[in-house]
Amino acid sequence: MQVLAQPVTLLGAFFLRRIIELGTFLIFLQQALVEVCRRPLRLDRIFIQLEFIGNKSLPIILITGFFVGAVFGLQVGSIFNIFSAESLTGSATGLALTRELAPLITAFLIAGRVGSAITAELAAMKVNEQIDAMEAMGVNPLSYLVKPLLIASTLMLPVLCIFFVLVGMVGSYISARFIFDVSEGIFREKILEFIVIQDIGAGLVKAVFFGLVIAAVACNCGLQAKGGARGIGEATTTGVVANLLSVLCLDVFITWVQVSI
Amino acid sequence: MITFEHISKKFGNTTVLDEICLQIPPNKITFIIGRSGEGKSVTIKHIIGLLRPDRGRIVVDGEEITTFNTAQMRQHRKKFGVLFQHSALFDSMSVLDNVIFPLREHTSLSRKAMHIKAEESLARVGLGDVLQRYPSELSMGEKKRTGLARALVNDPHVLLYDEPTTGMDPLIAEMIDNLILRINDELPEVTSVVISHDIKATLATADKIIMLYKGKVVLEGDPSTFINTRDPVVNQFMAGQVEGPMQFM
Repeated sequence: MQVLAQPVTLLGAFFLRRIIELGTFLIFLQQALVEVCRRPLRLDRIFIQLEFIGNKSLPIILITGFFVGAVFGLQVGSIFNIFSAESLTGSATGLALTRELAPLITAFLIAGRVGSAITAELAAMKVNEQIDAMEAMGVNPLSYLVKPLLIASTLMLPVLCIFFVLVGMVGSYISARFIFDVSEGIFREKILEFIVIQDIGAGLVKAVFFGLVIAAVACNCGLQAKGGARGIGEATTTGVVANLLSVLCLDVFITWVQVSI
Repeated sequence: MITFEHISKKFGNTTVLDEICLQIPPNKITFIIGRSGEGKSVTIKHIIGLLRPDRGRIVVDGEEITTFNTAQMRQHRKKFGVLFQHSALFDSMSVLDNVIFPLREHTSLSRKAMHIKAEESLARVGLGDVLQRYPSELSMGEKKRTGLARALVNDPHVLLYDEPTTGMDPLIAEMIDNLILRINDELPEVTSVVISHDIKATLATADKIIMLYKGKVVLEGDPSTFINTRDPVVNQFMAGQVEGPMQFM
């Protein structure tokens, strides 16, 4: 009986820890969102973060978007080719990119590039007493550090997502044009025929929520860091893993809501 | 006046402060001494509300801060200047921006006025030539002095020094001790609380000394009280002896 009890106890403890972590995160998110609505707005800090999250992520977004579009175009085109329907390559790629691939892959890239940097920076500030110093000076770290990141990330993810879709379509067009001999006119016509504004909206809504969650999870993990260099490393790893899982869970939930309404 | 009334604080199963009662007089330099892990930094963090006690009351200038909400506590903290053990300078900011930071957050001074005030504060600690350098480019002593300039810039009522000379060579440590004395002379209305392991500096600088041991105040008084005491624990600590009643972990 004892042999059976131990794994059950460990499993229970594991889930209890996850529930406590989720609760801690939700309290943090609520406090951060309240802070977003409060003055001062901190425009200068927001612009710095917009540049960090947006401008500096653009190259990797453009490169990835192009290749994802090109590869997706090749895969879809080769299947459509069996039915002589390769003219649908552009619309199929466009639908996949706008509704799912662009927001999801953009979120993954930003979670890796920006989320990890945010967690590492805040964790280093935490273990080096810089967060305590800020508090000791009567400055709220949620207002000074977290709020600009939440706003910038929420604003920038949809913008990066749009760039991802645009260059993805260019990649898809190159595949369709040069591998499957689809003309530019047909490619464009099928896109306009099949992709409606709701498809683009659905993707952008996902991107907005992904942006908010990535920044919130990254900040929360950074501010929970303990110990020295090892604590920073652990917080960063936890932050990236938690971000990827959060984005995937949120993706399923938002998609479910979108297909239900 | 800062008063601790029966303050207790536990971290997990470890009791760090056990029903502590102490008084920090205004406009004086009070040193808090004791071994590492005896709750000296925890005491300072209670004064500025970075930690809340499990039991007891803390009264600062007649106000009971233990009942303050977050907003009241942030307002309360504006009265303090804190020099952290490792300076806690913001890595991403230059020396000048580090010192300007509290002014930018809490005053409506113009950029120029903030610059002038920050430069005055840096000059007071003897740092007039490192304004545009970053913390990573500073020596330990320069970091401490920058931290002190930042603590001073907002005209605090109370200055808290968390081990200002730990890990420094004797010359720099002496310079920091002299700086604390000089600041206290120049700003007689300021109350200073210093955490230290340096007995020589403590006896030379302090108006009042409080020694913590096993979560309790073992002795408090002026330097002569500590020199003349027969308490074996205090004597062992002051003499820096390994042998004695004080247990080592």
